[in-house]
Amino acid sequence: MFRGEQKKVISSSFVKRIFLSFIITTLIVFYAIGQNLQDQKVSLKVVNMPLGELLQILELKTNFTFSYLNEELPLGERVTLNSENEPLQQILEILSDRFALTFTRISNIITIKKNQNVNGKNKLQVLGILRGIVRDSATSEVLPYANVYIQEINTGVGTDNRGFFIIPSIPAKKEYTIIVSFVGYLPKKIKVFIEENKITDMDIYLAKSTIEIESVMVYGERANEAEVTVQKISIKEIENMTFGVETDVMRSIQLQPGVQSAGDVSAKYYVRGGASNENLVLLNEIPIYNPFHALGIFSVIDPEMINSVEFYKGGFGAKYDGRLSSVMNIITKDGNRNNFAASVAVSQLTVKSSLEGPVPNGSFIITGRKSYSNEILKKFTNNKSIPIDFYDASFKVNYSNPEFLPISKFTFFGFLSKDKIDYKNKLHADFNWLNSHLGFNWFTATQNSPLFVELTLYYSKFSGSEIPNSSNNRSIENGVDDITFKTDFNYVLSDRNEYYGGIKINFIKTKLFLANSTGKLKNVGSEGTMFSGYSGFRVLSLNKFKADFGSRLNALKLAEGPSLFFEPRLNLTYSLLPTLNLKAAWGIYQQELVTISDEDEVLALFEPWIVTPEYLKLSNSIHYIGGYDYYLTEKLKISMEGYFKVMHNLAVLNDELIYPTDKQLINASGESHGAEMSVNYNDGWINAWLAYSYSWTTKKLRDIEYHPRYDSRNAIKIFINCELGNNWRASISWIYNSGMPFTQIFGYYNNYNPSEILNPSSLLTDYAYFPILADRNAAHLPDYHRLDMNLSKKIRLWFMDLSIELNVINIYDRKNFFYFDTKTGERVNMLPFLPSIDIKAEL
Amino acid sequence: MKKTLSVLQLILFLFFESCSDDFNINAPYQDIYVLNCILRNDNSIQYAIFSKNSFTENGIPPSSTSAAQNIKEANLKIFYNDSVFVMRDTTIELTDSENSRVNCFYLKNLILSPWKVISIEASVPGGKILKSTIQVPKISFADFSRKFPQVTELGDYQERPFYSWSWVGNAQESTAILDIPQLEVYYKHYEQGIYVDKKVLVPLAFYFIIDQFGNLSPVNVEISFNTFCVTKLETVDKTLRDLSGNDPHKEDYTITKVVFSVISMDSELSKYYSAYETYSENFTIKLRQTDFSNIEGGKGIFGIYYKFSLPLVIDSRYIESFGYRYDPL
Repeated sequence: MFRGEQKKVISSSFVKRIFLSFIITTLIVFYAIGQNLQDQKVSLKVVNMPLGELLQILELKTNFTFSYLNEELPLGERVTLNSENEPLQQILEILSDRFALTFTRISNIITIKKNQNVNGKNKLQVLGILRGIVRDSATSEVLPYANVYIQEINTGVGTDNRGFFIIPSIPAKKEYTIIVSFVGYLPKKIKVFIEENKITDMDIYLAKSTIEIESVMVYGERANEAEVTVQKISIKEIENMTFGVETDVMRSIQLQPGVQSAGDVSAKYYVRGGASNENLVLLNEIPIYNPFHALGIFSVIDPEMINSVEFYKGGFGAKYDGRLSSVMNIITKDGNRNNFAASVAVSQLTVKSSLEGPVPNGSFIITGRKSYSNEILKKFTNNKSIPIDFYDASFKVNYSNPEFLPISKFTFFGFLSKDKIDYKNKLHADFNWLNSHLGFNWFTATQNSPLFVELTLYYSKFSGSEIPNSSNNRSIENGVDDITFKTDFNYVLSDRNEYYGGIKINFIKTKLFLANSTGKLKNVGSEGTMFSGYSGFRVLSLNKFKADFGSRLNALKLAEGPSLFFEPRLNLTYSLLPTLNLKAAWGIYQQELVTISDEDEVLALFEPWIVTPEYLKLSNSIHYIGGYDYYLTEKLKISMEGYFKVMHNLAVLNDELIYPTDKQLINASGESHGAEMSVNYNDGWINAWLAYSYSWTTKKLRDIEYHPRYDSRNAIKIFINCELGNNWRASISWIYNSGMPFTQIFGYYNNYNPSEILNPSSLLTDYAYFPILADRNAAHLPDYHRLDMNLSKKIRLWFMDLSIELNVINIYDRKNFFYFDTKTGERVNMLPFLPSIDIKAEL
Repeated sequence: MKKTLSVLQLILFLFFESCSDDFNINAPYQDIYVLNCILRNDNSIQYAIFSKNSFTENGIPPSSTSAAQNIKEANLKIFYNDSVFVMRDTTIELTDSENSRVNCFYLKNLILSPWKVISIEASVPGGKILKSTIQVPKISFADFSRKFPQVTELGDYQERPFYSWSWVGNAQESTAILDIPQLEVYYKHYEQGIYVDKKVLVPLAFYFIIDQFGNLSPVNVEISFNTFCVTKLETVDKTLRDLSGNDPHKEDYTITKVVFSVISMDSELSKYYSAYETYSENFTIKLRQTDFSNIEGGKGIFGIYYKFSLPLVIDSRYIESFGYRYDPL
């Protein structure tokens, strides 16, 4: 038990009440499930009764209604049943086995369909494959995470982040009705003929809807991807989740349960007890080493360039490597393939623009953003004026010519972000930091085989420096140069199972020049080649059970340690009911590149990256995750996940660093566990969720256990986005976190300042008050909560679409505690009531 | 409907429950004593300051340091060379300080010798004892360092000539010791019929910087672990030239001696100094800072500041080239 745990601001009874409510909610879910099918007891005795009549009797004896197509079901076939107070579910299972039926429950309606994939009835059937890309009809931009559903065989999939989908094992020589849907678009029905032993390719174009229409969900097929803890977010959803002065993907993500922020000021996030440097941020599959502008206040990713985001809070698959906690994979837009379009947007912080349009057999997009005023930044820096200037820019060009190479896409992209603090006075130090990358990607699917391959070559660079000029500051120079070639492949088997794998070769060079007390710079960086590969197998052919077995093998490493390191990963999902998916994940993760970062810094310019020094063991973590998704109705989903994460050999700042030449990092260990529950509602007009998370994180350094500064025990996040009609939209978000850990003080003492030690009377006079710290992070700050609002209106004005957004941060001006400045005794609060306006014009 | 009401009820409950701001920056108070004592061989009196932590409401630090509140009710003893020296308490009047009265302890005529072990012990009426043990550092100079001037050609540098000194620290290998080299020129200036003794410090620097007034300012060698220092001969030249400035009567200046010295801190004081100077740029806000202490049972520092001096053997022709006289004492 830590000192101060007893003195927590939140009383233990309060925590118990919260936890109890969480347990009760979970129990309610299971109770509701049981009530519906398990506890609905039926007694009947029928002999040779036609199936149709039996279903009618069951409707009379229960509260459920059956929905089916007469021509599809063998209603005339006879059945004999003797049931004495047996659950309805058991009777349905008997009927399912007997007549090869699937039952899908939505509320009190049970839809019955013929199951095409069971008992070998169709084994002799010839099969075909349907494959394609779903696009926006106006811009031809790919639509990730759209639903593609084949009506006749009750089968569907979601598109991936390339808008790509593949459905194997379709009985051939038939015409099918394909229903394609996506939030905000008009659903489309397409007739397609599936040829035997062939792949039928199609590009599907969806038109934007002027009214919000909910996506057609594919019940019974939700578990077609054996992935746990992944959040797939389209740009439309990100735009609706404005949480701050302007839309920022890294702030929006903080509305998810399990994602913690250390304060309003920073967009840095902490996932399930992991430090911020344990989060992998990928932009078009390329790592961004320092994804923050301006002291971490904003991310470098301009939302104008984003098409979709995949966010893994843990348990991520074997494809991803190099970080212990989470993965954020951001895919940028391809650009408008049909027409030229431009946009200009102005907020109180930045001005930004984008230009996109067609090129022969492809498209391009260019985006740019620049800060122009520091007034709003002052609110983030306790009214200190810091001459920060930043900009970012990106471009992407893609080319896909079926005559040159069918089913292929070549993409060339680049990104640059730069920050500088320049006082224009040589007595002050200057600071610069920069992210840039250049990449080439070739995606191809072989013409007559369900194999798709992706080749990627990129160069990613980060550099950060402090130039002391004539100040007393010391020089710091850090850089990471990362040249990587990687290839990924997926092969879909005829039974829908899937092989996947890939190899990756990185050449990485890090440099970190640190000045010692004489001002001399020493490079503690290193360089070398890393070689790693991964492979896995996805079991998607079974009706109820899906699995993803994978493993990474790191054969060549930069850091010291075992020459071979395996990182096995496992994801499982099981559909207990058509509306209930159980899920579990386990995996081992390793991280070679680490930052020299001080978790006690509430604000930092940039965190230098280095390869794990030879005097440290490599960091690794093990994730254990379990949970469920339960669909109460088509629009209402309850999710719950519990996790346990063990972190070994974490590279943390040496807290006893005395000399600049001392080892900067030392090994620590950590452990986190918790549970997250969310209730999501989406009917097209209203998208809302209520999320609660309980988490507990400890770290152990020099045999002393403590809670890291971002370890908030209870968090509640409420978000409601509402389309009000007539192009009005409103959203509110409310976040509650129980108080963050902090270190109390035993008062102050007269601390001798030896700077003037040459003066003999210095010992008598040169003193400053210095706090005496109590046990590390053993007490808690007051609770945090904040209500934000966003109101937007789109209007057509002459030749352009004008969008005006009003954002209000901290509506009731809650004085949330940021930190206590022991030098001044000042309580520094987080953001106050802060209204701001964004205007965006699209041509 | 019931579920909706329950959820609303839960939200409202959380909202009002969370409005509590019950928060205390202070941990339960406990007495923590602080002992600062730096023994120096360049001063005939040794001082020690003994104090206690201040408890303040809401964590607000005292408005200014108040050395007058240092504690006098303690027994301070120094153990050295098999002898025990008792430090006496006193109050010193300072004229050039905001805190004009300082309570402290003092000890006269303690002769420190290199390489000796020395301990301090402080006891307060409650029975609390603070103690610490350190070792006096020792260095020896390289032979070539004695000549003045002595030009050394260093192949790695583009510009020459340079003037260099070198010394060897005799500390244990595992401990790092910070050193401060100094070059002092002692001279007499004939003013209104009498000779006035003066001293000038040669900036041991590689370079000059432009200060806020646009003037060239020398950068002194910082405290470091280096056991050598190198300076341009022109720096020494400039210092000697500036000594008389535009005064046409160069013969009124008599150089008496040039002393190279190295101020060496013992390993504990070196750690304290380095930890205190741990660098952080202005924008980084840290909630914890390194707080090094070698005082067992409390806080503070017990250290040695030892000045090793090496009078240089002067080539009179060099002095006379500036028009000055050379008169060794």
